[in-house]
Amino acid sequence: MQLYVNDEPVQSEHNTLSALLENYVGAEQRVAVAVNQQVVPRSMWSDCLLKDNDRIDIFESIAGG
Amino acid sequence: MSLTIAGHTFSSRLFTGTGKYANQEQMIASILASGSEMTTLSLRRMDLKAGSDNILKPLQQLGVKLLPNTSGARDAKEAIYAAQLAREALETNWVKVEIHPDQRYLMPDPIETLKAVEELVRQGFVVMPYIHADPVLCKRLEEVGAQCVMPLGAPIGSNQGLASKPFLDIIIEQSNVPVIVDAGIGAPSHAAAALEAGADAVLVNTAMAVASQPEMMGKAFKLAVEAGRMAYESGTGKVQPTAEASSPFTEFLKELV
Repeated sequence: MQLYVNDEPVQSEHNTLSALLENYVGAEQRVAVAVNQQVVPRSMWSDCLLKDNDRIDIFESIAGG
Repeated sequence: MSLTIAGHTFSSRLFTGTGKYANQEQMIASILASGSEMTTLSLRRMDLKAGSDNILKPLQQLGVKLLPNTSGARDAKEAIYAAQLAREALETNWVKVEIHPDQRYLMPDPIETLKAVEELVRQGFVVMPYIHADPVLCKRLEEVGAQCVMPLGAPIGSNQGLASKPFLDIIIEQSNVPVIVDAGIGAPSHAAAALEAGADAVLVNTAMAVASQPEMMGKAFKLAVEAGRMAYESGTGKVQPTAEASSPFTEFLKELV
């Protein structure tokens, strides 16, 4: 399945968001994830089924004023 | 002396930002010295190759409240999206809405800001909007449920101080929600002046972060904000065009001749 993670094309066999994110996000890491610009709460990651051409965006906190 | 926003009480009236510090150690030392109890953060898409700079952990250890901003948003839609992401990433429903489509002066867009605030309040956020020092806009934001207003003193990072002072005075006079002067505060004296004028708090980032000694500057801002608030609560004297003697006039000098 063709996915895009932060705009990078990724070939993935994972069909849930939680499985895909294991490659990118540590268990303790505080991030926000959106699929096709819809925010998916962490509690829903394992229920979120991915489909071909989905765009997954992972956000983190950085310094800012 | 304390300030309450959306049921949360702060004993410090100095809010801070985390941007522009040379390194994390200086950032933590400066915020700690400032006594600030709330500090802002931004969000960005993770760099998958470089990994995370992990700014959260030291701030959590410091025990300050984290206030995500929507910096980078160019319109209401993007700001709402950023707020929803921030709520998820930082587990807070507080958000500082800032929408500045223009990169040169970073002037906040009033129309998009009002739209975003109205929608975010409806979605249960505690919304703190960064805006121009516009008294009419402040009342409109208050009406749609903003928990405070954050008018600018001068453009972000410009260190110009309270260039908008006459309008800040009107906002302070009219506002029923806390007024937090944000942006442009370049020196502790600017912060003290804002508090003396009756602003409920200030938000300072650049002036602390770019100081050659950020920790000492944090302390300087702490003292200035405390002094300014004490002066406001004490009641400053009236400004008048002529002198008024501080010592009583006596005939004493005439006697000497």
